[in-house]
Amino acid sequence: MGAVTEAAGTHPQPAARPPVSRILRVTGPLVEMEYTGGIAMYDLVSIGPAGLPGEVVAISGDVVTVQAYEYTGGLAPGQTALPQGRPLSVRLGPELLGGIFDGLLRPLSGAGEWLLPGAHRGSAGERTWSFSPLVTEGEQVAEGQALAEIRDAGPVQVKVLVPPGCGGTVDEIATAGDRPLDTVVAVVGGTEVPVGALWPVRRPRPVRERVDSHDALNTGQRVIDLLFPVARGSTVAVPGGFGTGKTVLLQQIAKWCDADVIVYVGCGERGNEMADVITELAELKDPRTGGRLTDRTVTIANTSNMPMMAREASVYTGVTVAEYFRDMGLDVVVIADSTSRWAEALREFASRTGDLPAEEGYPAGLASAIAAFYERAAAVTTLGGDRGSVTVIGAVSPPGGDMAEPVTAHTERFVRCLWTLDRDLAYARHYPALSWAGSFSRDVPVLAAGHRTAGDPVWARRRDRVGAVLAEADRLADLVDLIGIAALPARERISVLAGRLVREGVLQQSALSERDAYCGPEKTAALADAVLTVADRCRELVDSGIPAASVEEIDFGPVLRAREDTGPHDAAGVATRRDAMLARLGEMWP
Amino acid sequence: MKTPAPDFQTTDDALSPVRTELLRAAHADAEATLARAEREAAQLVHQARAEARAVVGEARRQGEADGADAARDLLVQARRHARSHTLAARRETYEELRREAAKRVGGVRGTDRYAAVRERLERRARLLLGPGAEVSEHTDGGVVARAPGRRVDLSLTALADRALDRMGAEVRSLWEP
Amino acid sequence: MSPSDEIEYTKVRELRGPLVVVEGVAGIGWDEYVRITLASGERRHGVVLDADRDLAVVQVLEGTAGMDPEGVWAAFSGSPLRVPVGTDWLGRVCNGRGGPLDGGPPVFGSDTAEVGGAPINPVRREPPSEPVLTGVGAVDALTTLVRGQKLPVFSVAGLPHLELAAQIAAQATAAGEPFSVVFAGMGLTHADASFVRDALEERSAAGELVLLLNTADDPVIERILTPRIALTVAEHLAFTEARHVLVVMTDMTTYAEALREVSAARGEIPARRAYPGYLYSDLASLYERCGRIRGRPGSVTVLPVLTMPAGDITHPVPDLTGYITEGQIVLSAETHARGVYPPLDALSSLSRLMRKGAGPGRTRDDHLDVAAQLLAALARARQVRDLADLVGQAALSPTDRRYLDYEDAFLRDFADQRSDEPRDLDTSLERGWRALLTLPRSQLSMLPAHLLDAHGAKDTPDKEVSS
Repeated sequence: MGAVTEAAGTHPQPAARPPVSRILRVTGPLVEMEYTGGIAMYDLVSIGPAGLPGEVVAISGDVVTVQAYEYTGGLAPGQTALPQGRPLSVRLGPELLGGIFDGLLRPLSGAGEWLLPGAHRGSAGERTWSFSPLVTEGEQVAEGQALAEIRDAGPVQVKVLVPPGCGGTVDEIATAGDRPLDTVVAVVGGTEVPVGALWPVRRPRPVRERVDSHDALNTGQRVIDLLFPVARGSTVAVPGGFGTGKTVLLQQIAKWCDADVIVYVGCGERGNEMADVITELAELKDPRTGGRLTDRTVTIANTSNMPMMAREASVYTGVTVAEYFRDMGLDVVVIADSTSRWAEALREFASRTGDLPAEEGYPAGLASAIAAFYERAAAVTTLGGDRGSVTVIGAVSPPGGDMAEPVTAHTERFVRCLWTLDRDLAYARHYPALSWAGSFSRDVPVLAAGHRTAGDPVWARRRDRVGAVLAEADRLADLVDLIGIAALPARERISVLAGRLVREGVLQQSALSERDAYCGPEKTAALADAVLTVADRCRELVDSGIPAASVEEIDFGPVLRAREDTGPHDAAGVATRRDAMLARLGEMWP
Repeated sequence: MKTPAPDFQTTDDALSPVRTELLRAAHADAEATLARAEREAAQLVHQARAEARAVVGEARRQGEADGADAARDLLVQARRHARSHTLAARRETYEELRREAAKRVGGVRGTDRYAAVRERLERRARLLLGPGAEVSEHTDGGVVARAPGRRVDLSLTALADRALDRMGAEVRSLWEP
Repeated sequence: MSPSDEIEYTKVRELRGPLVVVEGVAGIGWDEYVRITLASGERRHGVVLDADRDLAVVQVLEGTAGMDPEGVWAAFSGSPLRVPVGTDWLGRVCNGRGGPLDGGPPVFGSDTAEVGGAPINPVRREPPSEPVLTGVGAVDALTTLVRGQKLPVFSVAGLPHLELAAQIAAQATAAGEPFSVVFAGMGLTHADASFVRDALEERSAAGELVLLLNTADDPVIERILTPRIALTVAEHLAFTEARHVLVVMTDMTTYAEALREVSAARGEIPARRAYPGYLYSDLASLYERCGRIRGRPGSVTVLPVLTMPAGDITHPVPDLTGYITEGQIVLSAETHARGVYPPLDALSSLSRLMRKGAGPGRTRDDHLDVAAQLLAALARARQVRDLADLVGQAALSPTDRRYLDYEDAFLRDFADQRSDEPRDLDTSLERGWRALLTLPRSQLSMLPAHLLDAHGAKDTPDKEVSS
């Protein structure tokens, strides 16, 4: 035991630093410095007297090109630059939960009112964590296996794992007790393991294997869960012009989806909006744990006026944080709003380095960069043998609403689900303004199989029927515009009516609603079934000779208001309203 | 960030007794000018107010409602005049201060302190441009130094200008109570 | 050897567009401010765009016209541009670089600040929650401006956006709390500039206005500086001097064109419509300087005005602005043609923060309901009008015909206002009510029954409303 107390309190050995270099050129975020040996690609560099962080992006002859992550005003050739001898890495630990960080994962809570370049961003390492070992000295452990639990990290089960590429005998393990983040709490096969782990953001954390996922991520948004569901470990792009409610939709998912951990990356977005998210998450209760939503959320806030290059790193930082929690056997969702701003940062830097531009000035590597980012999403068996997943949801902001522009076009190719937000729907105040004609989910077959296995064969049929109703109503809408509703045959008039009932009674969902901002799967199913049944009954009515106009004039209030009038899981309440509606229709029977 | 040279202060120091004295003198002059300007400005507004009252009264007698607009225009005009009067007076005192500063700094030239000042300036020039710099006397006093691709203007007028620029906020005290 | 702003560099390697490449420099930092003296004694100013070994590429704000490489002396200030800040700015009229235009002395400040500003820590932001009342009825009632918000005006050439901007700048208040306006005009014609000066004279005389005017014949590059100076002055007035500050910036399209010009001169790879790829970030670096800060008094509210070239809302400037700002006020040529001022396109306009800054405890209890009802009814009125165009008025149902009356009342009685008329919110909402009461009570489903009773809503309203 004595050895353990010695181990506890020591810090990991810092690597030897390469020699000091000198700045040759500064133009915006591009800094060139002398190659002085011991510098590798993607190494971190501390630039100038303020020690601005930067990353090596090219080495050519004796000139090293560095991408600076902060404003470089006043930085001059001749000043020193200190290569750090390690790649851009972040420290992963329990303090991430509930925290708010910048694009390089430096805590913002401790920082000042204005973010000055090079200023110390405070440290979250002050507090201690309730450490509780799960293994004993002398035990054999493999990489990814849990060594200990952190007991006071909130509702999320945080574990200390054997680092990847390490394993063997537990030489030392600390006793239960409060430990600061950077304390070595174990020695495994000669390697020191601290509470928090340092990991380079651009390198995916290893897993045992990628697996197929049959589980849906329940987002609580009906149009998604019903029509365009996403599997855990899958990828989604959400393209939408400004004013289409993109950020509101993503925030709804961040609040209500049934993942264990949410990593929200505000990448080049609005400061006030970020402030709002932060305030709201701190106030809202998690329906599943009863804790605060913020306790399962990691927020990375890199607003549009914060340094552009940190935006480039922020999406990798976000996904690395997600992988860290995934490796504990958790389901994690990364929401990146917006990946277009990230792509713009790529373009900006490529243009400074004089890279040959491809479409619209974006670098030729844009498509592969997007693909590589989304590939970090996966459902996996972790090194420790648990099931975990990282689902990536990326917003895309097409300039001028142009869906053919490079970022949107490439992203569409690499994601499994596409939730396209439509300006016309938003203009008509139909929220979420998710276009059923312009969206897709390639996860539907596996999820349908999953539902079937779980004893719910109706799921896929319900989805198909709702989709068919919408498609038919859309087709007829064009016709109605041309010739007027009165010219349509009665059955088709009922199809138009059915479309309206599905749109208003099922798909619309207000983020501001107290009871309906979140909708459980059972209520979603009940609402869809109710509307479909009512539509069927209407069709029977006109088939029996009742004029379509009379049916259209019926007050469908009970089914249309059911979504607002019932709680998030109240399928029975929906059924009651459906029955009331059917009774009303029954009165029409000749 | 740059650090100033060790004897960065020297050129400023040469002026510092002048500077304090200068500001004191300027204060005395400015007070009179500015007070007069304020009085005149107040007078303008006062007058306009009276006229505006008259306009409104007249309009009312004639049963018109538009008097208020005309009266407001009058007041706005007057306030603009008053304001520009005050601002012009402030600029006047400020420019006077600049002229006076230039004169006093130039005056150093006639004194026995000048030789020492000039020598300090020359030293400063060589410190900035290197020992090889070619230093020559400026026609207004002080020196100008040149080296390939660079020059330094340490003429007395340039020094006075720079010193005043550095005074910045202090100059405001001329017109602030 | 120590660099100092006393050294003037005299060796110019190249002059190209607005750029000067100075050779033989040492220790010059990127983005440093530069003072350039020409042989004639003329002073110009610039910013370092590239500090490359012993070369400094300087962008000259006043342009390089008349510059001879033999007679250029460049002195580097040692830091990015700083401007004096403080209450001395209030009541002053200056050019786009902050030099006096009002016959006064230079503006001195209690302090100086870097014009680029620093990003506000999002964690320290206070979400906006109180209104700025502009005295423009349609704006206050339908797209309430909230303290700390950024809300642009989208317009097209020929519409009275400058009048609207000036009116808002002249009339806006923050419930009696100290309030100031910083008005930054970029590329204004002399006629427009003098219009703005006249319209804002009272506010200026009251010591509540800072006016920065870069006119159309002023150096183009200077426009890049103008909004930054405005915002720097505003931030100090807000967060140090405890005022609520409204920053009006017009025309942002002109600003973006200046940015494009510099980008082209630097040979940068262009993105959409030849605007630089960093246009989004650049605009964000301006717009995002609005806000409130926890534990500090004051607020900065930003109202950028921009003209959409050829009325195209997908043009990069309105498009990127729309992505950054919290809503937009859109002006409509059609409404303008009907003789209504301000010609608001109410259905396309939106203040995303309105819900937080208006309603119970903020403005008036019925504000949000009335606004929602006004817009819903207007949307319906539009559909009816389209229908009427198709089938003729006679074929409309009685209710539909009421909607045509409503639209008329909405435009004439509610939206229309004189450009020198401050209208308080109560009056505006009452006019809104009056317009709504042209509709049968059954059509006013968004308004609670007790309010409908109080306003005497009828099942079949009288034909004409008094206006």
